[in-house]
Amino acid sequence: MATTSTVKLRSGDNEVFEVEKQVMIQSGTIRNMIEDDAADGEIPLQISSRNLAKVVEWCKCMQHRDRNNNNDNKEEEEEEEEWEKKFDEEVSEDKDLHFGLLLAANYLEIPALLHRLCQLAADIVKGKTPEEIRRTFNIKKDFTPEEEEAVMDEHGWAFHD
Amino acid sequence: MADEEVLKAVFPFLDGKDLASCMVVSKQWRDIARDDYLWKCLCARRWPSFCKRPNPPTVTYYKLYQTFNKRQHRRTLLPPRLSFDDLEFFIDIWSEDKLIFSEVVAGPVLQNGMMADLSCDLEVREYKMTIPVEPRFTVTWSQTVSVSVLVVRKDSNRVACIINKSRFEYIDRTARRAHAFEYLDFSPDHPFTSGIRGWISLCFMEDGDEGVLDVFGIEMDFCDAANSKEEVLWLLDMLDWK
Repeated sequence: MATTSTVKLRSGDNEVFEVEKQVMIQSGTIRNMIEDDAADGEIPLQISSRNLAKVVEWCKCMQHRDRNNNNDNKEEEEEEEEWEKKFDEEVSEDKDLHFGLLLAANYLEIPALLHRLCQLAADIVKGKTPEEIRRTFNIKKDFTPEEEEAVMDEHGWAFHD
Repeated sequence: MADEEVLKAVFPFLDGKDLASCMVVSKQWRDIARDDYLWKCLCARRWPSFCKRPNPPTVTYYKLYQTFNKRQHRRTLLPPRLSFDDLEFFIDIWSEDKLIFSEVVAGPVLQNGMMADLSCDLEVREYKMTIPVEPRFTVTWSQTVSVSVLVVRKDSNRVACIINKSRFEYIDRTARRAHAFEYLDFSPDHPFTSGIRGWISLCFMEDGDEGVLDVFGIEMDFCDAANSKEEVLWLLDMLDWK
């Protein structure tokens, strides 16, 4: 059995985060390590400290919310909603953070976070033309004019007038 | 590549229209978005019964989804097999039993029409064929005015009826037109086509004298179904040619 109630996560740039196990068991990857008694030392992760801090913050907030689920504390509920809204906004405006978190959530197996980040990304794409998508995500169009014509012929059905 | 994992995670959250847009963004996006598994999931949401079969009914699920989600384009007609050059129209107009107009009009003449169409309404997509009436004639509205139009095609020397002695029963004083129509007879090759009329209209000037119309032009259209030159030629081609 594990002897401590916390787990230490080391980011890719060598920052260590000490977090309650209760918080981090939302991550399937960490939960497995805890259950296998493999989480006593520092767990090295290929996630930047900036992204890891955000993941930990999110997990804390969710755990806090779940714990208070039975309470009818209106004020706290509003506070949490406000936090989530800010989280969505921050992520939507910062592509590096957004995609970094998405990969981290995928790697750490945090389905709720992954789902939320994917949905946010889908909302950004929604209704945009290919050119608007390119501009939003700073993607270079790598089709030659001939290829572009062919690709528009084949796949342009959804947005052609 | 990291982006690839992100796209693979995000694409299942998109609907078909957005996923199709992603296919045009870049090569990487296209290659990930065309994974037919994504399209299978979209089809499964749309037509769950299709996934009771192991394979898509079309080559790919993408194809299936695309086929029934395309915006309905107005189908472009193939070039008509008939040309106005091959056509001659035989127009006869009677007032009671008296013949007041009788002309053979070559197809190109009818097609080009009168240069200045007084009632030309640019908002409405219509195709009207007009000929000037020279010399003009007058009709008295209290009398029965009727019209026949036959059309001959010179490419196969056959004849079809467009209007078979119909009365000008309806007068539109605002548009200065008197209208007659006849339901067209189509070839047995087109068994489900019906309810399409040929219209003939007399264009007249206001005359002042009550009930007397000074006719200066004749107009023909098939506005129930055909509103372009190509459509009119296709429609005429479908008539019951004898």
